[in-house]
Amino acid sequence: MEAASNQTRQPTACPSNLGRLLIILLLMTLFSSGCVSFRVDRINDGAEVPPPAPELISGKTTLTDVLARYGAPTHIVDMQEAFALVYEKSFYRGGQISIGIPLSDIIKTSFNLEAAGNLTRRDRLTFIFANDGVLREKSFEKGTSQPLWNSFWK
Amino acid sequence: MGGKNMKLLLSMMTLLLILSIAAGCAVIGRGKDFRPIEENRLSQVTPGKTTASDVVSLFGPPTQIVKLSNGNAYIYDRSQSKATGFWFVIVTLANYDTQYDRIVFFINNNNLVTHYGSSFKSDAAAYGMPF
Repeated sequence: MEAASNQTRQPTACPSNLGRLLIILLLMTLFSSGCVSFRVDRINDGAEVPPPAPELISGKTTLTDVLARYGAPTHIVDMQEAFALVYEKSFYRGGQISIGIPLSDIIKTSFNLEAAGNLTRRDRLTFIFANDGVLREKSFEKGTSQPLWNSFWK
Repeated sequence: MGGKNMKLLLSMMTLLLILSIAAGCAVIGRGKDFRPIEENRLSQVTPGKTTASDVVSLFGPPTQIVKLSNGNAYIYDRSQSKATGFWFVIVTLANYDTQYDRIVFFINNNNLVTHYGSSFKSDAAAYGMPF
């Protein structure tokens, strides 16, 4: 008889536990919404920067060739006897988590814990020209191909 | 009857939980750092003939002037940004994309345009998913 009553009780135990869990989750969500926040940002600035074409040869290629192929640069830098054109794209990833309990009305202080991290990776193509407009050097770095987490913790 | 009530209660709880988590909003935004740059006016620029004052009369005052040892560079630019954001109860996700229209004129010490280059990419700014 006892076994039979146990068998009949068992199915109702599960939903009531689930009910408790749901209530706890609901209350936690409602109460923590003002105290806990998590933010993730992605910021892309600028267009894709292609690697330098092999046809662009130091000592031969001119400023006209580079401008025709890549358009207007992001930056122009004077180097006295030379100048540089810099093409750049940046990609920012940032995250922030904050936990705070505003208690200043009660105990004149508040509990606040915040952790934030961000990483900016850049693709950068640089051409250095002599003052006569002939290409002297070129360099390229594809920062956006670097891994997010490994780069951040390096 | 008790089982039915429990089911109803669970359903209500689940619905409330979903609603409280999903309570938030999605936002899209668009911003422009605008100045009128007419792309077709570039056809009036001839390296070796067009002067710095012609450039200024065609495109207005430059956004930036870079002093070079053999002259100056006049830079004109404008940008367009597009943003997408999602706010849930405790989670904020945001994505921003900024693209530029840019023209650069190289002007020698005789005030003549020697080279110019242009990129018109501000229309490529996109509303991306922030995940």
